[in-house]
Amino acid sequence: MTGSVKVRVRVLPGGRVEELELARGSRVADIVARLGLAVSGVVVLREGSPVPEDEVVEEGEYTVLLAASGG
Amino acid sequence: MLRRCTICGERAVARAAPGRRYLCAKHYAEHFERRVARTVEKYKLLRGVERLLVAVSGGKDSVALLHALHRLYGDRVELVGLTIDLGIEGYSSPQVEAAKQNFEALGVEYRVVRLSKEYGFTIDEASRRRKLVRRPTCSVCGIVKRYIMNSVALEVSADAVATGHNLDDLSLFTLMSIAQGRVDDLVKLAPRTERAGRLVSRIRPLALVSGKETLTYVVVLGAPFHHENCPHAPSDGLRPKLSAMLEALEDSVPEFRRMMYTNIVSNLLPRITRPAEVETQTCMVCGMPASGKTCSFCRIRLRLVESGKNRVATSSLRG
Repeated sequence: MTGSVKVRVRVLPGGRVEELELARGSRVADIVARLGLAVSGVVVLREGSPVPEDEVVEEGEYTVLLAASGG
Repeated sequence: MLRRCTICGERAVARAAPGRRYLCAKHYAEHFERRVARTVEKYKLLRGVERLLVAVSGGKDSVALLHALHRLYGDRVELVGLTIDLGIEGYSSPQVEAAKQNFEALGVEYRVVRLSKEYGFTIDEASRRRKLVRRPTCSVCGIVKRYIMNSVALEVSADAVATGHNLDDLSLFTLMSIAQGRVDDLVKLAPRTERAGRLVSRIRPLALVSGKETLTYVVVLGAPFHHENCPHAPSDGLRPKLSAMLEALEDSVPEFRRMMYTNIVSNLLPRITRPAEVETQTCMVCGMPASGKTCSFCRIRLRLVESGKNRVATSSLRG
């Protein structure tokens, strides 16, 4: 593994923001795990669009929407 | 490295299920709607339903419900929308706004019922004065919503009311009912409950899709929805703990919730002897079904609206 990727993650609702550094080649599911959340309980957005959790993480911003909210 | 839709090669938004094919926005929406259609068929949710009241809060689930029903059955079933302004400050207004935007975008006829205007109280008041009301706020809110949904369904002659309860909700409520030994409540968690007198039939077309799936669906549709936590929702206690536990369990045992819920509905519920209809009496205040002389809704309303005033004969509160 060479180097790392930095991401800025916003969690909604709540608006918590986390700056994370992950090993290059990490998956979106790794972001979710680092936040202490379950993949089954969230939808991760990149530029407003959902992304599959096994997609490789790219540098930049992600939004994590919590499914157990706002019924 | 982006994932591509297994069907068309467009950019993928999600997988159909863990380990299953990748889908783009368009194919995800179709996949979601197929799942809803399969639930409707499996449990015969629309049998005898020509006019359907769709309860839309403006949150992700009910917005998903409205769009899926409209796309799948909009040409066969008359949809009437209902949104209730519960009077929760900072929360209700954007919710009602989101619901209205969806009704209008789809051209669905709808009604907005304002709790304060039509019944003289709000959920915020019920919360502030919960000692007087003698019920937790979430319980009051549930009673209020069920009462208004049923009243409006009768008013507009709807054959059933559709709600946005999803698999997360139903598997969570199922477990809580079992844990707390509330067998009668368990029966009410079926995908369809039949009409009983003036209690209109209730259907839950999202019973087999998860909150994650409804959320993905409304995002890919670009439908407006309000994604916030209700300020009255408890952040601690059994419910949020069980909810987080079920999500974690789903990660390690995919499809666990669907398996548990469908098995309970198919194999356990039919073996539960239905109690002699609980709500066989008629509320002396409003004439709706009640389990005693006065229905739960009117008991709450009278406590809130009448406190501080001289008691008025209940008959004068009719209507």
